[in-house]
Amino acid sequence: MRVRLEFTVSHAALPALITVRSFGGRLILYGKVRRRRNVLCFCTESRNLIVTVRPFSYDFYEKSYFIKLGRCPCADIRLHFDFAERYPAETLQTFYLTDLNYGFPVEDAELSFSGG
Amino acid sequence: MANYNVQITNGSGSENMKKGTYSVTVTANGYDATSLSPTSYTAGESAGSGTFTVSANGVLTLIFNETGAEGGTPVTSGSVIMTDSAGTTEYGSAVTIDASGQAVFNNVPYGSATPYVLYFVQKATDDGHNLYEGVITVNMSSAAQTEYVVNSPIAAQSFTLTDANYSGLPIADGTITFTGE
Repeated sequence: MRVRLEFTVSHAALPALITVRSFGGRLILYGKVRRRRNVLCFCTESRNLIVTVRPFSYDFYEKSYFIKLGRCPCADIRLHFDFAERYPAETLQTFYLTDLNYGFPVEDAELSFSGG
Repeated sequence: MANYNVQITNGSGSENMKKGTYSVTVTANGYDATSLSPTSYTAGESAGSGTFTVSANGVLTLIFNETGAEGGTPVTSGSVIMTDSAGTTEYGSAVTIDASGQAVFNNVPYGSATPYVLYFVQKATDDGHNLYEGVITVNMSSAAQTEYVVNSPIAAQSFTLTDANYSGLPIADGTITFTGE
């Protein structure tokens, strides 16, 4: 089956990774998404597809569409991946710092975290 | 990209953080910052926790003798252990007091500006001395430090054993056994 997949992604969520899988989980294709509007053309034997866009930023959840293609020889799919919703909040992380040699809690210290 | 500084007080601290993997560094009075382990942390979508360790380079020598000062007659055996300030929670393994009265604690924290306060309890001494009772407090302010702890010599005790029915009659041959600490 020949598939033409036209999709848009919210600008705030770019860049992102798109994957197309069968319902069984077999990877059909994947690629980096840099632009808001995109077109992919591919051939597959799968009649059912899962199309997922995962933003590289951890500020967003990934989004997926489950598509049943039926028995037509070709399919023209149009999707919009809306990432208006960001992660609701930061989560509470608790840290423990102990002396390596004696195992007692360190009285006064500062842990610095960078990255994310 | 996000940065967080988390204050650790008495071994723990918390922060609201975004999901992601972070590299971690430490600033801790009395400790070697390069010894932090692990040096990365991954925050998930839900609340989580992480445990870190850090090591120090100080060396503390405790000397147990009869005066609690330089030059006193040392005890010849015993043991001592690091504790909390109340002396109830023990940290690490007990350290042996050697024949010259010395017990050496390696890798202890110290601070020149703000001394690191450490606590110890003596667990045992030799047969000729009394155990130091109470918590030994040390303000560790230099990389190598020596502190003295008094173990007073045991005092001679005299006992008499007489017949209960004939006042003043000494028992010719007997043994009195004392049990206790």
